[in-house]
Amino acid sequence: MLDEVSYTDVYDLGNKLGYLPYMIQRFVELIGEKETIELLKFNEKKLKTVIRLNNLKAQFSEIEFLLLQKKIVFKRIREIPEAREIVHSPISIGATIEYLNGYYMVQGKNSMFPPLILDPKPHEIIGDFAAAPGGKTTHIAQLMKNKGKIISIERSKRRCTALYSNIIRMGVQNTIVINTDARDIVKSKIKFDKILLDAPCSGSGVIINDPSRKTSKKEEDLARYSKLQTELLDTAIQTLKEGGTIVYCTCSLEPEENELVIDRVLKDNDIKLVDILFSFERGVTKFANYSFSPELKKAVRLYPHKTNGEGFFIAKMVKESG
Amino acid sequence: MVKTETLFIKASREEEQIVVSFLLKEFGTKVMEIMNDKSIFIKQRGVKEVYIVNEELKDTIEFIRNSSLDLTKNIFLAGYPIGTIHEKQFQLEVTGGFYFKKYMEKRIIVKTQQFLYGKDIVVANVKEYTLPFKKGNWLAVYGKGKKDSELFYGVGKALVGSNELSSAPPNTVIIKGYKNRPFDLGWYLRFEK
Repeated sequence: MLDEVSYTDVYDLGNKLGYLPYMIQRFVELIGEKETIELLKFNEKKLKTVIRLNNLKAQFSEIEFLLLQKKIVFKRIREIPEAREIVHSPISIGATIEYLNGYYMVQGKNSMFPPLILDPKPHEIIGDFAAAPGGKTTHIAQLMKNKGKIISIERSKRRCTALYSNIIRMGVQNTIVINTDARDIVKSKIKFDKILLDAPCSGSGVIINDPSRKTSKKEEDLARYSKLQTELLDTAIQTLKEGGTIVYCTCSLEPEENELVIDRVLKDNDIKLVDILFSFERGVTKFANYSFSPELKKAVRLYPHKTNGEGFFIAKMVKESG
Repeated sequence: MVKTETLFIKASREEEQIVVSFLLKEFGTKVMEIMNDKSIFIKQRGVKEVYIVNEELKDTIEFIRNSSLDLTKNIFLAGYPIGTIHEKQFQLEVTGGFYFKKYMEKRIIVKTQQFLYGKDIVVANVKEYTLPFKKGNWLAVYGKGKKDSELFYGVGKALVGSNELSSAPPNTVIIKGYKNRPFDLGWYLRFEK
């Protein structure tokens, strides 16, 4: 229906779709009116189901064979060899015997990019901070061929249950799940080769999955998230070995939760941003009254309407040697 | 910090013996191939959950235990869970069946998926079995798909021997299903709810 109507006033469209006015104002400031309309329209759609094939359990060809037997139609996704977009399925994809055997994980397409960008190796010790429900932990384990070590940290005991279930279902054996606040991990003196910090966020990039976000967060909440994210990232940097890599990501589109957080930690720590080689939109260097380091152009923004997936911000940093 | 009462510690010699004796009895000596470079850990929170932990993770657990903030009390999972110890007996669970399935040579192949819903396997459900089994043996349960693809469904203890199957009534229970206990893979979905 939205396609049939020409909305010239983005604020009118935002109002009709139930967004708080501040959100529209910020989207316009970030990507302009025309693209904001595209984003709002995209958020009314339903994302295609995507699965990640798990070669810790079976070869991709075997899993594909089993899916085809069930008349599940899928297609490959160019940048992610392990991902398949479900085109048609006569049955619920999250309740097949193959799913229960851990042959695949139902997972947002764009959430597969942070582990790929982290590029974990089988001999390394990896930290996954704020790890539940485990899509990224299990993906990291897959990329490490179940070797090396992953320390997955999750503050919520309830969410640890989902993390536990996914880890064992996917056959992951190289992981320790610790139920604690990631900020406590500094005291454990563990030093990581690489860290993935998928920080808790306001979620403005995943309105397509959670329409309640149109009204559930006030503009003032962004500062609270930004403070927590900066603390978590500072902690993560402290636990990183010299020369180690950290990938910071959120599913928020708000610069206060993304570029501002990175800009702060760049000033206070011996770390530098490194280029992300996927061709997504680049991080912003100006927003409202903020001006960020030009280095932020090395970070990427995955806009939902441009990537046909969840919104993400991803930055990759390396800790410099003494 | 989140408060928990959990202990995650290396199994005592007695606990190790309970687990290893079970594995040798049910799966034969070959099973030790997989156990050689592993340790058995116990997570104690009321019941004793048994985990198989590799050397690298074991070292990390010890490192965490010896640091200024002992986070081992907060370990939710390390390595791979295989079952529980209750009243000095090891109880295999579906995760353990998965872990050792290569060594579980006594397999029963079923025609229906009802075991995945926590229901019993009765004589009428059985398509075939790989080796003769006795009452009390642990069996791996598989389903057979098209073109003979086999998929693991879970584990269970035989309530009757294979020699009784041909003469038993079709509704005779061979393996008992449990909705609230982790013996079949459908437990993952029930557990998450």
